[in-house]
Amino acid sequence: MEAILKWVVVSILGLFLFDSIAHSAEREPPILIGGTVSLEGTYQEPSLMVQKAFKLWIEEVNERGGLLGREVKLILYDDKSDKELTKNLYRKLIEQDKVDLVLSPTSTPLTMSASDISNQHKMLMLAVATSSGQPWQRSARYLFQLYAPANRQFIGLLELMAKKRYKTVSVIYNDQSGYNLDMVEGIKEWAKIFKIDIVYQKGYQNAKKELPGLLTEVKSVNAQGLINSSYPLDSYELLRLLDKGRYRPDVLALPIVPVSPDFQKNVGSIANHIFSPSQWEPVERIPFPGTKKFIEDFKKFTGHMPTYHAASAYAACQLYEQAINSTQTIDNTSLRDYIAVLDTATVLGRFKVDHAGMQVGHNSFIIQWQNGKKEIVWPQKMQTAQPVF
Amino acid sequence: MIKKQFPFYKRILFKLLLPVILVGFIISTLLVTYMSAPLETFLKRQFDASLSLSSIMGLRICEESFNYLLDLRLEKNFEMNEVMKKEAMDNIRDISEQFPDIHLIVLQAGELVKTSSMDNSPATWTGPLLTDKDDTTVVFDIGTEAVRAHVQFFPFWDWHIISFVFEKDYKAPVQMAYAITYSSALGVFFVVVATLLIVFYMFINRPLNRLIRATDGVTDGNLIKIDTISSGEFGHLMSSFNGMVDSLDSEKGAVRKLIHQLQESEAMFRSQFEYGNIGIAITTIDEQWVRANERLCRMLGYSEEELFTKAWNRLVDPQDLAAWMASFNCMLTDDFENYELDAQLLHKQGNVVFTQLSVSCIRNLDRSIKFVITSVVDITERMKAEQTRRDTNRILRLVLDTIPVRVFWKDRECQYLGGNQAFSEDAGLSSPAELIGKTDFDLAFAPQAELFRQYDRAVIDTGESRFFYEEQQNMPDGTIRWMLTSKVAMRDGLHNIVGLLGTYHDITDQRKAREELQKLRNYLSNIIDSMPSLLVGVDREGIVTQWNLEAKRTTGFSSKEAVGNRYSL
Repeated sequence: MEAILKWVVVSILGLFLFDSIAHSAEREPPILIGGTVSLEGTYQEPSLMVQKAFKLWIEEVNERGGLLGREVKLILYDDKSDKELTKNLYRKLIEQDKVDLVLSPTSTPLTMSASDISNQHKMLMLAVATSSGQPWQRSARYLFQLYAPANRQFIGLLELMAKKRYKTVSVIYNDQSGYNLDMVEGIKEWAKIFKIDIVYQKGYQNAKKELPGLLTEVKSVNAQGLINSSYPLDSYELLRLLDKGRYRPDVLALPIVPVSPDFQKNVGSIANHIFSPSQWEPVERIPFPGTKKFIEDFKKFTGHMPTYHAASAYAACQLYEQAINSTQTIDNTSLRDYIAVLDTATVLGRFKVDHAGMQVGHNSFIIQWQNGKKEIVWPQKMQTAQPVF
Repeated sequence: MIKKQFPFYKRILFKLLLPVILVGFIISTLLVTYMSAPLETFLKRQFDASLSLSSIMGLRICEESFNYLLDLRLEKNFEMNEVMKKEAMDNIRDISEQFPDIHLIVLQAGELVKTSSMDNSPATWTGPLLTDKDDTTVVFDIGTEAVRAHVQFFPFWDWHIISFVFEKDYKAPVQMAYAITYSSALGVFFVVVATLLIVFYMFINRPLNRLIRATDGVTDGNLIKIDTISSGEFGHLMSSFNGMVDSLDSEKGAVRKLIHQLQESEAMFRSQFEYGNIGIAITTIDEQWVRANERLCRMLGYSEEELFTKAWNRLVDPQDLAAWMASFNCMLTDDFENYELDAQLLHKQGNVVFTQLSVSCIRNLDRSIKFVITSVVDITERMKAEQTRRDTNRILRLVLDTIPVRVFWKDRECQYLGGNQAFSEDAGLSSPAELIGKTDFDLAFAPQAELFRQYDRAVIDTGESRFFYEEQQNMPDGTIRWMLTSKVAMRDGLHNIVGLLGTYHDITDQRKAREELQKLRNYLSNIIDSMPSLLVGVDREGIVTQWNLEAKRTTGFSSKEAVGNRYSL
């Protein structure tokens, strides 16, 4: 009898509480956060991960009571990996949908397009998937980078190659993206430091058309290593050609695509021993706060292990939340000022930007596929396996 | 020349130990050979692991410095690099303190020595080119000294981090291991041999020695037991030896006793032979004389020499010769050991000597007769005495059978030993010989046997004779007659009662007459007593012989009072 009475009281109290919350929520309109994802096209694969991370965070933040007591709503449009479309969509988001905050699209080109609009409207944008420094070569006061810059992503691989006394490397890249260009610059810089000769270097625009010829040339110079800097579609094409031509240098490195947990499944045995830079990996060695929970929640939410794209997107959301909660406002300028001097840790790692807004706190590491498993091989303190050459 | 032989236990030791030593040495050598290599490999591997670890530690220090610079985005900052390099060099140098005998050296561009844990290290590398070396173990010389090194390459600073050990230090543990292995193997081997020696000495050599000494003692005639018994099989052997000594001692004692007995026996025999009153002749089976004693010679009146010229059958009276031969042949053929017979031998002077011969033989192991020993007892006097006794007995028997008195004699169990002819006939037998062994219950007077037995026992048990008592006795014809019997105890030379002697004669008629007389007296007495007048009878002396009732009535004296007294009026 006593137990029943207690249940009745608790239920009534709960109802009152819910009612008050509902009423309080009803009192303020939701905070709108808008962005685009590439559900097709060049940037589809990483963008899907970004989308999932956004949705996960929205659900979690609302479970926590939203931001500033307001529900948070997400508006995402498909930019189809198109720069112009991206620009238009962000214009729509800001001008028509009147979003309070914006999230970046995936990739440097799309981010550049989107940030043109967001900067115009003095809206804070955290670039969730931009390694290139290109966006910050113009004035981008309201744009902040989360990734480690592209020009630093292959330092680890080049050091490993130098240790192994590898002396030559070939570099091919899609020259349409600032990301790739920055990456190549970084490779050149560090190859010089490590006394590795870049015996072949060439950019391309159309992978399907140009890659076969490029590979013939690459094969002819027979460098000890081959680095291809491009997006997933180009990388898949390259791997297909390499497999077909039965050519494989000692060291083969690609950015982005090998970090997908389904990479081996997608490309087969050729995945073995491929190197790739990675901003983040879902392993216990990653010591950042909230990482373990994020991995578990993401897996539960999506059924997949997150890539660094997801971690980066989630980290951007974390920064928004932290900024809003700290400043108690959704005023983008206030938030921007807060972010600009912030030195903190997210699930992605350390976040600290320089005066331009480029990331200076976070570093990437090198992963390698070994026997169907993605292993961290650089830096040594983060190693899960020795590199295999 | 007698070859000097080592004592048994030393030879055993040599024969046992030498193979053990050889085998032990071979096994030790094999062990060392096959263990040393793996041990050496193990030690080298351990050392190589230390070399590798120390160089990896050096590399780690450099990597951490590099990552630190990357984190700070200061990898291109010269001052920062120098600071990190210096810190790295200090830390690398300190690594050697954790690894004894291992030195670390950092080379810049393969030539310039940036730092070294060795004192007085040269500024420039004098070792081999290391441009293509990374994470490998190499062997080379530094100056005149060979070293074993592990090289790590840190490309960012173009450093070679070399951890190395001088060959002599590298080999020292291996050599020590060899030394330890050899020493251990030899040590164990010697300990085993020493233990074997000690154990052999304690548990085999010493007891064996004792046993040998004791056995030698036995050989020399000293039946000395082993006083301290070991355990185990030797103890058992020693116990058996002591048992054997006891047995030998006992046998020796028995032999001594036997010898003593033999000596005694021989002495007795000799005494008897020489000085006894029995003539002894020792002959062979074919009657060749061996010995004859003085008594025999005197008995037959010959000297020994004369006797030896006589054959036995010439000495035996012809009428006894057949019996003698028969008995002798029986002993030969029927495996008798001895026989006795009475034979008459012929004296030298021609008279007969009655003898009792006891002939025995001494046989060989195959049962053939070696000697015949004849004991000759002169029974001539005895024969004479026997004859005299027989004569005396015959006379006595004649007397006994002639006298009318019945005589009988019994033993202590009341069995008849004899009696005279008259008694035998009273008993229902035909001759006294039939009495022997019988009791009263077996004879004609069996109805009185119980009573007779009582009287017999009274005499035998008390030794008191019973004289002239009357008893009835059944006769063979069924009549019962009265006898006047006397029985006396019969004693031997030592006055012990050996039976009883009884005599009796028939008093039936006398008794009848007495009864008749008594009857008459009673009749007369009655008449006298019945007389109304006083009647007194006196004899010549005046003694009253008769006194009747009237006399009593008259005088007041009874018959008893009067009869026998003088009559006075």
